[in-house]
Amino acid sequence: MNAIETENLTKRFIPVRTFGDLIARRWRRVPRTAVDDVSIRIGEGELFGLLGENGAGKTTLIRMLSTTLLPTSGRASVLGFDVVAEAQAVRRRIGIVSGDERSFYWRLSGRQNLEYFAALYHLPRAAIRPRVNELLAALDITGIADRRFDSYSTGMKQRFAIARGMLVDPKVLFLDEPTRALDPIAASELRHHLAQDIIGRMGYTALLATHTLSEAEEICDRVAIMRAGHLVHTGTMDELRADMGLTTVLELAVSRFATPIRERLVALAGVKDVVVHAGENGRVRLDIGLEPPPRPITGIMRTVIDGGAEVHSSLVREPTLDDVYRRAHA
Amino acid sequence: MPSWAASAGASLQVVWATFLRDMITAASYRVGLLLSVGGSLVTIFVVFFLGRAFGGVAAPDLERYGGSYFGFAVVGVALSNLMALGLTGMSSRIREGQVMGTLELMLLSPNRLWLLFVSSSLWAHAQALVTVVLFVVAGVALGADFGDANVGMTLLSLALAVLAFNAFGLFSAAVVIVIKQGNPVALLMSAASVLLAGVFYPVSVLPDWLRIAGQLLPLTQALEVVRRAALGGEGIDTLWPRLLALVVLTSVLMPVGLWCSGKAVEIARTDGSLSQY
Repeated sequence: MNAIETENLTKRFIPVRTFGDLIARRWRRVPRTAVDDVSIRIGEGELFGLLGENGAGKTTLIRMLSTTLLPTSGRASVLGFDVVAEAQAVRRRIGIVSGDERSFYWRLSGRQNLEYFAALYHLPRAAIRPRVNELLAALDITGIADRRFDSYSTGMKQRFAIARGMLVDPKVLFLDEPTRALDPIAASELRHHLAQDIIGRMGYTALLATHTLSEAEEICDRVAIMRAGHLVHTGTMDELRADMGLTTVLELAVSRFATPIRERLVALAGVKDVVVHAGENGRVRLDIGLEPPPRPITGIMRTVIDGGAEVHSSLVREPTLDDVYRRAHA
Repeated sequence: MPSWAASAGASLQVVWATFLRDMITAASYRVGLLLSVGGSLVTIFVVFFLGRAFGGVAAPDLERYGGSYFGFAVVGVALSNLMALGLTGMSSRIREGQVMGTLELMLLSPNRLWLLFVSSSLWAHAQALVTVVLFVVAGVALGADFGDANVGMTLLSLALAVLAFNAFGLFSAAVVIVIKQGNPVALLMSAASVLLAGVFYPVSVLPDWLRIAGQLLPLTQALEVVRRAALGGEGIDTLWPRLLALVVLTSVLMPVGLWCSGKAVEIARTDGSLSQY
């Protein structure tokens, strides 16, 4: 069974009528489509990344899946429970972590906040304190737990948000840009923590919405790219690269380059294309696109050297999610 | 443990945790807490001096309430405070939740809507109860006479009054969920109640048509029954029609208020405004 499943899920918002609309007698309100016909399947234990620019529809999709927003059409289920008809069953099995610093009681301590939310989410009374202690330790925030929430740094607050998302030991965790407000070091630490300790060790299914490409690339098993409410591409990194025709590139900095070398390189098996970039001091950079699967590059090097050129440096560059993302948005 | 007992236990746990949350929060604003209690006590001096100014004037309309304007007004102000709290207790917590971003998380919890609303306003009710008790104690110290009070009847009618006020509070909460800022229900009800329910004067001085309209307000019924029980010492034998009116009002308003608040959450879940403020 898939942990998360959506079928033609769509959300349209009716814009609020402004005073200007009333004065101009604009009665008709054109709905704005935030999520359009989205169908995805996310398996149990998978860490799935949802990538897109601001306003692409990531948060709207997460809010529908977490039952705080009603879909306009289509259907969605979490762990087999319909998000509309069986919202309560879904709520008992999910955790939510957002990058929003609000949503805590700032006059309470971090521990008091967690204990309150644990009670709110029906954790048995005897289990609340041990569970809170366990999560504080797991997220390395025991030492600050009794300080007032408004005294924490953004990174600390975010750790508490993750702890809260995990209070009821959810089967599915929704992470909506959890590192949005963090500096690069804190974001990297948190990512590591999420991937290794939280999701890796505890086996949650997680849906991570982010616009940080490196974040998705670093920790996600599969990613989907959203654009203007549509799901543009879905797959593992390799699948996305193949789908979009992105290849591994061998970059060679050479001198004494002659045109016949390029022709010989293009004729080699496994070479997709060769682009020559002019450089300084008579040097050029050759970007040699390699067909998958990867093969030894000995033949390429021999062709270049036998052609009379001299190789100064080489670099094998795998296509990044950045390339995928740019291609998807092109 | 039977499932109903487990469910009741979980609900009590939610109520207690929410009460603790609000108590700790309120206690962290020490000056504000003291000022809110102290400020409301100032009102008692206003009615005390009003009573001294007009106390000597014969007012036959006050006879059934013990004859003293001061006692009459003390009950009036105390109950109108309770009504204001009933009207705004839940909606102000909801508004707070919208601004702080906690409302969505609360509604995501596996709790019934009414439980969340009631538990959220519990601390405010406890605070109001303390204020009312202080109010009455100060009133007694300043000469209000509750010597003939039928205590049981007074407490019963107070409890029914609080329920009726909270039924209106559910409407008010529903409105805040949908329109966010501003609370026309609370504003209208407060204004109408001060004018028509007889907080500062007996309703018998109103023109007939206004008096009839005033009978539809819970505060009118509550004031009548509490004053007659607390100041005149009357019991169930004479007050039952008023109590019945309160019960009927509450029984009609409560389910309608619950339906409205459920509908409001559904509207907010449709237009995506649950977390907006």
